Amino acid sequence: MNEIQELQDQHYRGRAQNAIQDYLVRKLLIPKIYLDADWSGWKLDVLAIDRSGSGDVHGVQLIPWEPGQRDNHGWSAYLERTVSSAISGFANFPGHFRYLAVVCTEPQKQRWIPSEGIKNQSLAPDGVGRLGILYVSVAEEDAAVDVLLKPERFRSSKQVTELTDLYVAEHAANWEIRE
Amino acid sequence: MVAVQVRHYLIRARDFLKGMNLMQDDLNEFGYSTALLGIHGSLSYCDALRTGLGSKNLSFDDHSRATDELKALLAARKYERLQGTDRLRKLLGKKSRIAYSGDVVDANEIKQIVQHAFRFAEWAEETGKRLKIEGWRDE
Repeated sequence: MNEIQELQDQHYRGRAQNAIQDYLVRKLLIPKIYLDADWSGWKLDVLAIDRSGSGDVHGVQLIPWEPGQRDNHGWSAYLERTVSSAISGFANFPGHFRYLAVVCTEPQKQRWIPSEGIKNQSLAPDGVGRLGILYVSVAEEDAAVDVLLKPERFRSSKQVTELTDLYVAEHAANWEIRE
Repeated sequence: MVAVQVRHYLIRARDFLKGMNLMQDDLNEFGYSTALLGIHGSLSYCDALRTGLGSKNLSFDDHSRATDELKALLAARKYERLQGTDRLRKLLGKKSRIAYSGDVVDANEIKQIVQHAFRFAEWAEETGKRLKIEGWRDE
C-alpha cells in the first residue's frame, strides 16, 4: 500500500469514527465518547458510555470495505463471511451494547442486507442481547450512518460497572458535555 | 421505596432530555417545545436528587424553593460541587417566559437553554452517582 492510499484509508476511518460519534450523541443522553479505546484489552474504534459515564457501555468496531473486495460468490458473500468472523471475535465483550460498522468507501453502492444467518449469530446464546450492525458510507459528501440491525442490550455485571468507573476516571473523552 | 421514586423521576428526566436532544435540530419549528423539554427535564432531575437526598415535599409551586432545598440537601451532605444549582435556578427562571409570556424568544436564547439543560443533566448524573443515591445507577 502506498502512502497516498494509507492516508486516504486513515481519512475514511476517521470520518467513519466521527459519523458514528454523531450517531451515538443523538441516540444516547449526554454520553462520554472515546475514540481508539482500549477497553480491558478490547480494541474499540468508538466507545461510548451513556449518561455522562455512569450508564450503559457501547462498543463499536469498524469493518472497512471496498466494494471491490469480494470472494468467489461476490461482494455480499464476502461481507457475510467477514462480518460473521467479526461477530465471533466480539463474543464475551464486557459491555451492554456492541456494534459492528461496515464502512463503505465507494459512493452509491448497493446496500448490503445481513442474512438470517448473520441475524441469528448476532444474538447472545441466551437471547439477552443482540449485536447491532451499522453501515457507514464515507465516500459521499456527508458521511452517514444507517442501522442495518438494531442492537439489543446484553446482560450487565459488576465487572462492567467497575470497568466503567475506572475507565472514566483515567481517560479524557473525545466528546462530552463540559461544565 | 425511595429507590422506586428516584427511578420514577429519573426516567422522566431522561425522557424529557432525550426528546430535547432529538428536537434541537429544528429550532425554527420546535423551539419552544425543545426549550420546555429541557426545563422540565431539569426539574425532574432536581426531583430525583431531592427525593434521593431525603426530601419529603416535592410539590413546591415556587420552583426557586425547590432549588433552595436541593442546595441545602447537598450542603448537608457536604457536597461541594454546587454549580448545578445555579444553572438550575437560571433554567427554572425561564419557564414562564417560554411557556406563558407574550414575548418572542429568539433561537439564540433557545440554544442557550438547551446548552444549560445538557450541562445541568451532566451535573445531575454525576452528582447522583457520586452521592451513591439509591436507585440512580442501572446495575
